[in-house]
Amino acid sequence: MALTCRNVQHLHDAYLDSDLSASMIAEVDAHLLQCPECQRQIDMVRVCGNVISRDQSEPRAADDFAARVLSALPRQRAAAPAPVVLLTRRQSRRVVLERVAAGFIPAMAAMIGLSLLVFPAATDHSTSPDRQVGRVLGESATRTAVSPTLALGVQDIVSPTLSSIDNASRAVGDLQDFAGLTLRDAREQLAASANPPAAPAEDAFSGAFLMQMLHPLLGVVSPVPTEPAPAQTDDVVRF
Amino acid sequence: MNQSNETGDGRLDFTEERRLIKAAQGGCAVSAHRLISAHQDRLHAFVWRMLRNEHDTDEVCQEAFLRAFGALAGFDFNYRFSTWLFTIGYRLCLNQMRRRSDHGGSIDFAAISATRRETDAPTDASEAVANSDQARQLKDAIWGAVDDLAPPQRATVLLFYREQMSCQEIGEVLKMPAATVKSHLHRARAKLRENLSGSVAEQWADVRFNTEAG
Ligand SMILES: [Zn+2]
Repeated sequence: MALTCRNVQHLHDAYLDSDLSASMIAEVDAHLLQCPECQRQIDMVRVCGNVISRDQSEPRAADDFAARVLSALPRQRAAAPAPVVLLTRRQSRRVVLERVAAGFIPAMAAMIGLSLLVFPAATDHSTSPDRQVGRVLGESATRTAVSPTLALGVQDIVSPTLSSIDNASRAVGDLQDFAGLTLRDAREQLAASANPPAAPAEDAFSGAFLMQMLHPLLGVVSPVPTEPAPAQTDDVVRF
Repeated sequence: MNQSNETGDGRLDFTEERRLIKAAQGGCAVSAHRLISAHQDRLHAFVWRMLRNEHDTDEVCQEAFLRAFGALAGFDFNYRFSTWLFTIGYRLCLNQMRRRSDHGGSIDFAAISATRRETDAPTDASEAVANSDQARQLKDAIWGAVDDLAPPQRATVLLFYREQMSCQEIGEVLKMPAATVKSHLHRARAKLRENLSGSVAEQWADVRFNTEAG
């Protein structure tokens, strides 16, 4: 039995969306062939669909849109945890080392920095500090014509303090050596991790990131010049 | 050679989208930028059709992306990024419409017709047929009819035809069952037909808008 116009109207959507069986589509087609009114209605909706899907005459997003969105996102700060990426077992060990270094080395560096400030003359810990201080005191005593006894008296007073300072400065020295070693290791690992052979550039920033954080530190503790931290760290966003 | 990660219309394929989201979750700005670029014009077109105001559109789009990235850590990989983005965008559109009607504001029709003339410039040489005056009238009539649809129907039609979303996906965006989307689509088509009856569209019902038609 042939479809009526009313039947076809009910089937409009299903016909347009190809939700009909092949035999039903044939039935509707047969009606449309001999009914210009139903055909016109179907065509009109079809043209609407074509225009809506393909006439892209809307204004486009501004050229700087993506940049504006990115700059409105909070930036990742130096203290933020390194991003999680899928790693091999060996890489994970390296990352653990990096993270330990990231937390431990700055703390140690702060201590060293502080000691260097407090004991600027104590960096050469092979020489006894009270001898050095005594020499300084002696020189100043000569220059200012203060009696040697007074200088000796001062030395007696400061001597016990100086020997404890001596111990402390030895400790600092050891710490410094240790820090130097650790930092050298860390730097080597970082140098490796900053340029992983085939990893995509965007995954490399955790090394670069740590590198930048350590940068001032490396300058203080060891005289080895370090390459400037990549500007890529600027591109890190935190969500 | 490695152009397979984008489909013909510049949309990201599923694998590439996943990769970019994961990298962006880790803080990769390059990936975040690519995600934005791949979606900005689509969202912008949708929001502009909903709001018909350039300034509001820019604001809503920016806010939609910021919210999407703000919650990226909890992204559900069962969905497309676009579904999620349009969900946020649609909700922001509704808020914006509500605010506009609260303030007694209305659509600036002069601005709309100005924009339309300005932006109707042909963008694709393959649309030779559609560049005639009659075709332009037809397009204006159709977009005018789309403007007259209620917001959920307009959104349905835009997502269905432009974004080629299924009724299921549209339901996720509009927060309604797929069956309700179907009935919105049905009513939208009936309304379009009704609004376009007697207009230029009737004589131009057989205009083809693309090379693949026919
Ligand atoms: Zn009929």
